[in-house]
Amino acid sequence: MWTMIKLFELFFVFIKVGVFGFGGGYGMISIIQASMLSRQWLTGTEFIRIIGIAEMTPGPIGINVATYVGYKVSGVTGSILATLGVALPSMLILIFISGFLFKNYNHPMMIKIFSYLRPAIIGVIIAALIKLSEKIFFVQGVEFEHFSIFSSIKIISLFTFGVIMFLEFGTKKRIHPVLYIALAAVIGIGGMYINV
Amino acid sequence: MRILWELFSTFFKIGIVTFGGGLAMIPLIEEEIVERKAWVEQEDILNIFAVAQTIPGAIAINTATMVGYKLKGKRGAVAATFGVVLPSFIIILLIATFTHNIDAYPVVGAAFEGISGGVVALISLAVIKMIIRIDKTIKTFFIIFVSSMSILLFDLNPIVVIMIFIFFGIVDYIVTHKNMKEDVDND
Repeated sequence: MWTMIKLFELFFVFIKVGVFGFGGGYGMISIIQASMLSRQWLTGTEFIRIIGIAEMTPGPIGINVATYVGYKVSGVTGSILATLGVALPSMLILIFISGFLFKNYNHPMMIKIFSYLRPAIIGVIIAALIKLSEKIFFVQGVEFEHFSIFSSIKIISLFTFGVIMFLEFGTKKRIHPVLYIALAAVIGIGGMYINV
Repeated sequence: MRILWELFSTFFKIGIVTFGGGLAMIPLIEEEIVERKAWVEQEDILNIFAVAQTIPGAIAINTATMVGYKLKGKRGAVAATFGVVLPSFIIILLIATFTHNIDAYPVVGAAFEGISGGVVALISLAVIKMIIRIDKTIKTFFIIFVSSMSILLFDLNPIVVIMIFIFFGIVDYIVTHKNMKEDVDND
């Protein structure tokens, strides 16, 4: 009986994450963290480890965290419920919105709005990319309120970046992104053995 | 039916190799959905990214849902969504069940250090492609500049930025619409 109640609660916690998790993975993570710690389903250190693993494994980070947390709390059933809970709300909202959107896709007002949104979203992606590179290429040192001192550069990450840019622009071959990712993994592991 | 299966399997493949969350999916979507399969055009995919960012939930999944919907309605949306979610679900479940300390293996950390640099490169390439393909007007570059700087310098939430530009779009529509009407009246 109690496990049933716990499973229900787990499912609804993740529905809540799915409904209120704006801005992708990191928006969801803070809600998951607060919900788990307040219910004492996980400790803070356990949660930080889960985020680390979620970042390293493929797939959207919000979903990875949900699946892992669900498993930790209530096994395989828990992981299924958590994943569904987090994925269903946005799917239903989007099916509803898409119906409206694609029906009025050629309305002059839609065309106007999207003529602003397309460059705006490129700007949003550029901003996210710059923030991401900062995180990936530098090891954060001491964190202050608004800035942190970079204590070192991650040479392997930077080198991999350079290699891929060179292959793309220096050669005429068309290389699939997946091959680039595989190559990046090989470079990373190689770097470990020659101890950069 | 065939197209549903194709949607599912294509997004399943994308889901397997999306290291680093939603942003990392952009280059793969460009490659598979826009260039190879030609399911949606470059313009459409930017529109879809914009909506996906505004709706709650993981951006990668939202994008999949919308591409699926555009191709095959509700059933397409469900097929694409499950396709993109399933790989990470299976992988995390395997990790959680069989290894309790995958993050303790040095090889995993080392591979990830390479992959994360590679992901930044791939996203950069995707952004370059987007800029090459978008209509090159002063207005476009001005909007790109303003939206990126408002996030980087003023820490504005991306959703707020998107809302502001939706508002500008509506205002622009109303103004041009009114002018057109006046022109007709003057004639």
